Amino acid sequence: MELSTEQVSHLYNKGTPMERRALYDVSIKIPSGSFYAIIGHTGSGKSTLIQHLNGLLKPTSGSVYAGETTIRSDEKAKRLRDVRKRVGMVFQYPEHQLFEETIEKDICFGPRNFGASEQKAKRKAKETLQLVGLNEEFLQRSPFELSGGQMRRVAIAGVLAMEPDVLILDEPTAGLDPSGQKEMMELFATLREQKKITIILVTHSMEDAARYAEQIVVMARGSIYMQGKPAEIFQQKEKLHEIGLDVPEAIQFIKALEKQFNIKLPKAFTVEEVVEVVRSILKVGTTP
Amino acid sequence: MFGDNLFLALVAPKTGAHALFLHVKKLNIGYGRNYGQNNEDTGRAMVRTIAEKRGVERRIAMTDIINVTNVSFRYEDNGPNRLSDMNLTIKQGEWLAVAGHNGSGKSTLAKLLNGLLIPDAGAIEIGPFQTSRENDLWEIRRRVGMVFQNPDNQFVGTTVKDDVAFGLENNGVPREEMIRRIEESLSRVQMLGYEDQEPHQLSGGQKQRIAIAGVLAQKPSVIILDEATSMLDPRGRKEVLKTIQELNKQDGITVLSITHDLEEAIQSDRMIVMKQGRIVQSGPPREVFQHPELLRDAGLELPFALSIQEKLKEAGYELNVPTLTQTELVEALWNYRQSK
Amino acid sequence: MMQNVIIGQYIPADSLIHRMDPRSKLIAVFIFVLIVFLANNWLSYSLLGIFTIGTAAISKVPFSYLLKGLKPIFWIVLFTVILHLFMTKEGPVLLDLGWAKIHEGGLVKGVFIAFRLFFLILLTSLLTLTTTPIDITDGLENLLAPLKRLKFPVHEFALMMSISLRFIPTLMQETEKIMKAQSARGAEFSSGPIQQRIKAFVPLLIPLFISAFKRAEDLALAMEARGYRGGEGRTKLRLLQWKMRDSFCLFSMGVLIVALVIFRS
Repeated sequence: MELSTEQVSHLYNKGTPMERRALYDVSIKIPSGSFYAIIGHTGSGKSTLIQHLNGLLKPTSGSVYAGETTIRSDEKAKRLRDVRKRVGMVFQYPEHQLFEETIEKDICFGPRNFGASEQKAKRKAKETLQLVGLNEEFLQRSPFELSGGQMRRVAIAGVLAMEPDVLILDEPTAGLDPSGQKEMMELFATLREQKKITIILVTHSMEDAARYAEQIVVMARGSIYMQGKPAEIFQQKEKLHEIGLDVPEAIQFIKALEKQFNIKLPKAFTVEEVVEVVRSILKVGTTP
Repeated sequence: MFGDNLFLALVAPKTGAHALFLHVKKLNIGYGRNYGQNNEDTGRAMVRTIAEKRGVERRIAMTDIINVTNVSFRYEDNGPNRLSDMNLTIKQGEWLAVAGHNGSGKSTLAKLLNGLLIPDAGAIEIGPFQTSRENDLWEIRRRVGMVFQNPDNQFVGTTVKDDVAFGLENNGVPREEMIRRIEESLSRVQMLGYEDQEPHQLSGGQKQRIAIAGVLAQKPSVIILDEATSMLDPRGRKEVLKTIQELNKQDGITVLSITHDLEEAIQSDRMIVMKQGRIVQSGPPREVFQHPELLRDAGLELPFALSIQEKLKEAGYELNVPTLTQTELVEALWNYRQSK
Repeated sequence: MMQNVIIGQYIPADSLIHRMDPRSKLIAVFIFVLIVFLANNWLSYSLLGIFTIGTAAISKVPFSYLLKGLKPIFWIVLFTVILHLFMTKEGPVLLDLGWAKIHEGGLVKGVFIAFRLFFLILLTSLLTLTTTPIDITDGLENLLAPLKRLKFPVHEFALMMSISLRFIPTLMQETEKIMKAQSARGAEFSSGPIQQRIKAFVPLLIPLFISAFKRAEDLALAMEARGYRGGEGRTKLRLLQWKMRDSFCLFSMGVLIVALVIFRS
């Protein structure tokens, strides 16, 4: 399902003394099956933007298109439900939304709300739990006896069980330790491979954005500041610095190498890629 | 919203604050009100003046400030040991990083150091005080300040100045002194002008800096950061780390930072790596990073430069020194290339 | 949706009433609540009216806010008035409806009751409109201090109040976040039959409870780490200052009492 916004603006607390504009004329198009990363500082409008994409917020002006559905400021709630089902949203610290006695029941909550039969919901629960790397034995356990990382997986399974076409992830690795963060990102990459769903990742990690996304949207002060492929975005180091963002370490490092060795090197985003590049210049016989 | 009262009433007694309060009441003693200068403070002031005179950045004094001797701790009587036979000495003025995976016992250690938990075996001494002696606890908690992980859940006051005042009020500091110290400590963390702001108007990084100010106002000898940056965005993390660095370097405050971020640990004077309640490695970061396999084994993620170096080694390119930063790595690679 | 709830009712302004010590305001309101019942004729009611409206005028609180405070009790007032209108059988009959008679005494009593309630609400809401919740807490703690002798946990009570005040915005943000998260999973909070709606709040309330517990635990630990050990031996940053205007306020309350006693019949 394709998602797009056209000149979307959003005002919080419209008409009160606390009125605050969070988005200014944002137009963006996210094709079906793509992997987008949205980066920017806290307060840049990232969270507001993604909440428009699944109808949790309605634009103050402008339109949001989710598949065939159009969301405008005067939209009825009924039609938003369909959008919410098809665009799954994983909030920051999603483990805070768990509430059922058993993991199975919790995962079934979404599918049941959207009208799935109990049988189907249960089947989905089993499937998605495996998808997030927990085995069947967990189904009848209480979500509250799990570790933080496991709880988060269960919460994500709860969203996946609704079989969304698009998965929006709001800083899904926040608060996890480094190995947990890595596992989590690998999980999304695998999900995308297997399920062919669109992924929209909101992140503070330039590394993750560079490594996993095909397209990066940089937000600042409620507008789109830059947009493009990771390589294009991270080439513009100065422009990113202006809004206080950094380029990934791998790219910084390659730049530093190019300078020291006075050669042009290929792009690299991951440790493995960087090692390949380094090996190529260390090989005896090549001249710098 | 209303339930919050109820929860506090229900939960607070369990944590021991209430029990201790009752106990102290029974003893009917005057609480340690000597908020003035004490040996530690003068000692620190001396280090500072020496540092200023010589124009050097800082010196780590030779005096021990915390001694952990053969400490073991478990949460439940039949449960596993969270800390096993731990020994650790912390020098005055040093920055010690404690790195470890979740569940390695690093947070337990932090709570033991200012008497929030009491060891089952062994002793923890802070200068002349011991955490196992209840009468010493208040003096210990004043000297060993803690900043916790969640910026929201440690903000007690309704406004910034009320929050910074909280510890001072607890220690019976007179009001005029309080006002002076609040201003002083807010200026140390660059938060002057925010006195009347409410917590929900502040960013995570700002809240953590207020928490640090609250600790500073008590004129502590040691600040413990219990994963204090892990819930912050990169900008907030930078702010907090910069503040801590200044406090350590300029004011000579001993810093103990508990973290699973090795990039953060690189900046310390000395680091210990914990695994399953034991110290598996200890020394200056440069030494500790000579054994990346041990760090990985402890469930830690290697810093970028080091992980490149490790991968290169696997591929048969061995650089002689561990490189902690990118600049070091570039230089090492250049030298390597030249030597061939 | 939640952000537009103003915490407490406090309206910041620079007025004599705002600057007054919360203790004098609390005492004055307390006295007023008692002496309202002294009034029993047109003269004494006019006196109360002048006092109430005068205070409201000095406070510089916009009239619309005061009206907003009166709105919720409007129906209660109306109900009481009607009750008195039909139940009191004093004085000449003004209106004979056949199934009920309205006496003059009933009408007078009804009107008096209505005024009494309006004055009460107006003055008590003036207290919360001109005093921050935390100041009220401080004032209460100070006034109730003598109760400590009777083992009433005054300090703990005040601390609990101030911590709740501090966490209200935090919990509101949290409520909104969880509501959104559950809506994203298809939960409906605002439609359907009432039973269903109550049930819909379970996925909201349980996570809120759990997080409130976690917060309370963290907070207790943080408080202990910062040397909290109960109210004894504690000093306070917040200072209550009794000024001339506060004494004057109590003096005018005294005058009001005397005047009411003289004018009532």
